[in-house]
Amino acid sequence: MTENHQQEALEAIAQADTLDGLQAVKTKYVGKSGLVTKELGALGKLPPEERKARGAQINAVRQAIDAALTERETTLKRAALDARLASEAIDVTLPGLPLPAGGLHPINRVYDDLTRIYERLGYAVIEGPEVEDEHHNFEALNVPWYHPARDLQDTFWLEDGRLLRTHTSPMQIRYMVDHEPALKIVVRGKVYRYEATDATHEAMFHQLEGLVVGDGISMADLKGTIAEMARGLYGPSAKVRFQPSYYPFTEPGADFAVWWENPRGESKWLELGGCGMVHPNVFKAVDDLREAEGKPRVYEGKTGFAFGLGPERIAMLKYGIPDIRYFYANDPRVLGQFRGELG
Amino acid sequence: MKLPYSWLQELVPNLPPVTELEPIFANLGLPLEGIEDTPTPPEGVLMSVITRAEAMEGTQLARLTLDTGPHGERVIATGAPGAASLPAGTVVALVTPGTTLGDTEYGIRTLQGVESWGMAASAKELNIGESSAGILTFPAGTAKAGTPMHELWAADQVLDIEITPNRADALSALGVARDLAAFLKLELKQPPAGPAPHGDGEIRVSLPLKGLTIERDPSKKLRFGCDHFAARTVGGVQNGPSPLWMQRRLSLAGMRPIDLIVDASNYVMLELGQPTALYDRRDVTGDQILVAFGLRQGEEVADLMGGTHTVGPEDLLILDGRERGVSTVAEAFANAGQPQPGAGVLGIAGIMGGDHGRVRADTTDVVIESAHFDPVLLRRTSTRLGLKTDAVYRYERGVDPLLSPKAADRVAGLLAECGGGQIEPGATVVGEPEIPGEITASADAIRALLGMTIDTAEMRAILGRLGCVVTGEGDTLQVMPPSWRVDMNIWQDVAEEVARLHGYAELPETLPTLRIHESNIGASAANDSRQNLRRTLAGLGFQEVVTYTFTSDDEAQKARAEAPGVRLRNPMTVDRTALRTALYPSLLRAALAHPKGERVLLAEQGRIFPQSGEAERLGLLMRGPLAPNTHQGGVAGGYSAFRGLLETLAASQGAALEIRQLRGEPVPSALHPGIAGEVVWNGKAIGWIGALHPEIAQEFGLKGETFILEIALPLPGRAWGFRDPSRAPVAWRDLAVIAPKNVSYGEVAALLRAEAGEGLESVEPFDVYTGDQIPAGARSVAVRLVFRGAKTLTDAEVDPVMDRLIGAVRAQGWSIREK
Repeated sequence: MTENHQQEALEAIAQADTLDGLQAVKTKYVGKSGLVTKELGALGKLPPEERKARGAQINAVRQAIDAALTERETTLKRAALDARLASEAIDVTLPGLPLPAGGLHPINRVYDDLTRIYERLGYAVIEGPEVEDEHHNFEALNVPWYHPARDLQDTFWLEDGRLLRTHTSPMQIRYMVDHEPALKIVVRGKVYRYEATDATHEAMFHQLEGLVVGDGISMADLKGTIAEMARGLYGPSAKVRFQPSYYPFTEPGADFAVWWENPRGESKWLELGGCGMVHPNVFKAVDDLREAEGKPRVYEGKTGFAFGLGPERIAMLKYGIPDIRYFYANDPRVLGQFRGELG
Repeated sequence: MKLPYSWLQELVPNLPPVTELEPIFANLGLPLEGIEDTPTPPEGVLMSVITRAEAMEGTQLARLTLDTGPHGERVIATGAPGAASLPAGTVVALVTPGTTLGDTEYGIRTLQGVESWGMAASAKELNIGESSAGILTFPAGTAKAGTPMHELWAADQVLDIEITPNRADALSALGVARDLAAFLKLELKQPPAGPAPHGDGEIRVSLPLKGLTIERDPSKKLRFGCDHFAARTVGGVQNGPSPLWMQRRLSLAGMRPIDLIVDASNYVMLELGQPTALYDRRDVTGDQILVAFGLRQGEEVADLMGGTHTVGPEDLLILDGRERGVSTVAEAFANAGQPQPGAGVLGIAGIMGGDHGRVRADTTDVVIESAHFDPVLLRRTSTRLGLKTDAVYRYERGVDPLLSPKAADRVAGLLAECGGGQIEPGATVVGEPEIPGEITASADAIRALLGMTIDTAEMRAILGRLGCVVTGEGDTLQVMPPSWRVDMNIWQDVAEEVARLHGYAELPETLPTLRIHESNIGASAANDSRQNLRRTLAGLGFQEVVTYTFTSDDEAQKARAEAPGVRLRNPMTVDRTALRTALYPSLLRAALAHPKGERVLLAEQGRIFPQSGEAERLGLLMRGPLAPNTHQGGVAGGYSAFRGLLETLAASQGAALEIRQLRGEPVPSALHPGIAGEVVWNGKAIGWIGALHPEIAQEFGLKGETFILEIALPLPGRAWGFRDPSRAPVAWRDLAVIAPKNVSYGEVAALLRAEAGEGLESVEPFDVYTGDQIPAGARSVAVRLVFRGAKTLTDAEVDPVMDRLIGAVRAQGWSIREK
């Protein structure tokens, strides 16, 4: 009897080609009311002397069936998984969902490069108003109304008598009026010049202005600071050159040029900006404004330096951009190039 | 400023070769903008004399008959402007046939029927100057016909020197030479001095009073009108061409030679830096010169160039003895409006000579004026009259106040030497010139300011070489600057001179060591948040743009933006007449740079200038799908996608975002009235979001929908604190609210939130329905309400809340959609 079941069951197991079919075989023979299970249940009716031998016999059959079931189940599961995986295969070379990719404007990338260097050196980064009054833009910066230096900065005057700032330097004044020394800041923002537009001139462009004020600040500190910036921007080969120049709000004043191993072209000295030691008249103008606001005079007798440069020029030199007008035409084919590392 | 190398070399005999000069000039703060080679002209260029000049009828050409010397009389045709009216005797540089200039060989050409024997060259063609406008001409008598030009014209190099406004002292050959000699420690050879005067001159001169003010504004006080005036007279001058060496130097320096009298004045200005004015003595009535403020409010003064200028009481004039001068502005104001008839204005002081007094063809006796005028006053007049001359350019920067008599002598000497003039022995010199005062400087302070080690002795030596008189003991430097260094006023100026001559290259590189004052802490916060926002937006797929701040009335009107109130006084182009009052018109313009139908996502942080004042804004724009269709379906754009991006932005900033429906109240004029919302960020209304009004889209030529947002920066923050996450499970209920269609989801959610109180963790809509199963004009919004408490919530706790919510909904006149 039992042996017949074993033979039948093993054949049925071998023939089962689905998990459901296998389950049916399992139920038929070793389920709760399966044929083999029933025989085990019927053991109690046998006389005790037969029971042991018969029990061992049936259990052996059952174990053989269970083992076959397990083995067959494993085989069928693997086959089912293989089939599923095969059916799920897709062509991974087809493009994905074209989600948008954004990017930063190249001018702001250059600003970020610059401010990152200065933030590491402990500078605060600030912005300020683009519409200025004559006092902050010129007078307080030691450029009185009659000064020929005004010819250097052709100005967009506004109908109400104010002007579009010609440089970020008025923020030197505004910041010092509101804060006390010692201080280290860089200013970012747009500036305006009444100039015809061409490949290297724009009526609107950007500046980065730096100002450090404290006790015993020297021109050597200024040169070292510009050198740190140059190394941060252009790598360890960068060198800085100072040459005498004139900005009414500095004394002494200088222009600075940077040289570095340019992987994209010829290495040469490139004029990047102007700088100098803060003119005592600027400190005086700040203290006068502070006094008018009821604040203590805290700038006279301090020393400091200031510098200014144009991110457009840096971007043009660094990335080989031929025309300043590219920056504000916002052509997606231009802007889209300034993503990721621009090494 | 342009100067030929040979001139500088004459003053500094051991000047290094021109190839070595560039870094030297740069280190002096007089950078070279260029070095131009002016080779000697080729052999075939002959000085030729015009015997007849005539226009060729029916053409733009002129026919010149020339005496060419060895080649006899020849004819050329030229298209150079003004050639037909050149007087006979004028000398030109004739490029004879067979001569090569640059890459061009010149021959005989037939022009409009005239066989042109070579060409009369321009300065540019000969490479001896920039002017290509006309042919190079020399006054009659300059050279004998047929003289090869190269015999008269040596090769040279012209240095184009950039002079910053502070370096008035360097606006002359002598000034530049002085600096070079001091820097290179070389000998300086002074240019020849004119004959020194003996006794008083015949011209009587009266100057205005000192301490004048203008515009009745005491802060705008002038130091003086004119504080030094020298007059000399020369008789019997044979005016004609100046010697070729002088013409050559003037030409190379960019000035056009005219005649001896004019050229001598210009030459001395280039040589010494002192402008002079030369008058025909016949016009200096009564041998009297008055330097006075304009008598002739509103009257016109004719200048020697043929222009006229309306002078006012604040303009300093040179008058002759016929005029009753006034010497104070007060007097001039008092006289204003009382016309003073008669000629007599010899010139506008320091700016331009008058027609009266002008040197003419028959002038023989001249009065030389060499004076020092107030820079501020002259700059005002020159700016007001729009007259920028080489003279006023120097005066407004600062001419050496002591130079006047010396320059007058030099001009007189040149007129005698080159024009056979008889110099009157006496000279009139009046005024008390103000010279820069003594500066007290500390050598230690200079070293500290520069951060550079320089011996005190070297400082004294440097300053001495620059012409300063340095006294004082030890660390103290008592520095008396030379009269020409009007820019040296404070000890920091002394420090700059020391650094300049010692060499900026010697400056060490150090870093400031500072502990910043507490008032500066946190100053970067606004920039940090701008930066964070910019990067997040880029990560969300927005391309950052930077746009022009300018706008025009037309653009503002097309965009329905606030009319611009901040307007340019001097606009450059019609599309840039004012400052923008909103960001979105700039973004619309930027969107136009994208191909039609393409997805556009733009972001800008920028400043706007509405009536309420300058403000910072963030603008966003979206066009097209969020993801376009490809081989598979894309993701639609539209308001939902745009708003979704804003929600992600808010979530990334940890901000609570709410969009309030704008209905039955003014909608921002940029927006579609039905697709317009107010952006509420952390509880504060900061701007708007919606679809661009279709009429604006049409005006800008933007087809398809455009979604825009404009919000104020900086974004409002929020109070933040850490909260332990609750471990209790949530309880949820669904509720469908039927309300009129014009009730926004936002209003329904707000009501439920307000009524439910703290236990309500979230409200999310999962179905919005309009149709047959609910009344017309109504809409059903089904929401899932998620509650959470400190412990597991029971029905007994949640049910009363739900009853309260249902009651509140019904109290609004809305209803609940039963399942």
